[in-house]
Amino acid sequence: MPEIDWDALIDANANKAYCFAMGLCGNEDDAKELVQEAFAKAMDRIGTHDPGLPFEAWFLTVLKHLYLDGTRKYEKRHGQSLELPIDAAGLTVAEGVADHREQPLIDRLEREENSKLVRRAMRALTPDARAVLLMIDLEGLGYEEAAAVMGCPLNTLRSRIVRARAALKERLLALEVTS
Amino acid sequence: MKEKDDARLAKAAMKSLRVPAPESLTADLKRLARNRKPARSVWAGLRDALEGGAWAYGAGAAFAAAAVALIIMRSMPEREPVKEFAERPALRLEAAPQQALRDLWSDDEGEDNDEI
Repeated sequence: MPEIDWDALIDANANKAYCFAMGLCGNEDDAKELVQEAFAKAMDRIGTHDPGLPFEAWFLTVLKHLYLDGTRKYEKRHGQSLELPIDAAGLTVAEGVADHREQPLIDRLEREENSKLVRRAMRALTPDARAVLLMIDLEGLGYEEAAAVMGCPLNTLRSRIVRARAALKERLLALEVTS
Repeated sequence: MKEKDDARLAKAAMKSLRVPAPESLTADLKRLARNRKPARSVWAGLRDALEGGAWAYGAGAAFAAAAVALIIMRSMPEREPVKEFAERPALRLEAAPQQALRDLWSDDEGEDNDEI
């Protein structure tokens, strides 16, 4: 097996991995720890990576599995689901939110940095919804690659991304109303 | 249309999450990679040498030829070089005993009477 240039792989993937981890974890310390664990695991398991496939997608699969394993362990230990919204008052889906608020929100998001608002909204989504959004709308992965990472059929992935985007919009609008 | 707007909103939202990885993290990851790198075994080195390019075959052949030549030269017995040719002694001639020669003599001249 040829020797792997890990420095080059780290240079090429650290930023994406960190963004992905930040989107999943929502805070810097957990994101750093998750990225380190994912790279350590990737170094141990590199033999299972098919060189014909992009490293990035394989690595994101490793990272996502580690995150989901971690959340499941946490839930088991604490008897509390991490998939529940954390802020019942602020994150309740406001069904009566008028559609006319949607366009200004998009404009504002496109114009300004709203990482705090977005992170807060992301935390209320399920880990799978977060992962799908991050892979497709942040990392720019294709649907097929994202489906491979998520380990689900393409059609399932399509419906998941539609649901995840809708859920994110609802959370953001709700936060706009309450903030 | 609704899905398109949702996608646009999601992309705009995700854009704000784009942050560079801290430099300390990248450095930590590279250190981790160096520490985990297994030491190269002797066999791996030998295998790499054998898998070398065409020049390696030439170098290997030259090395083998030199080794064979050295072995042959070392196995040959060492001899003092001949400094000068010594003159050969003359062959020794011994006079045959006269009596013995006389016994061998006959008066045979090839005539019939000589046979008797």
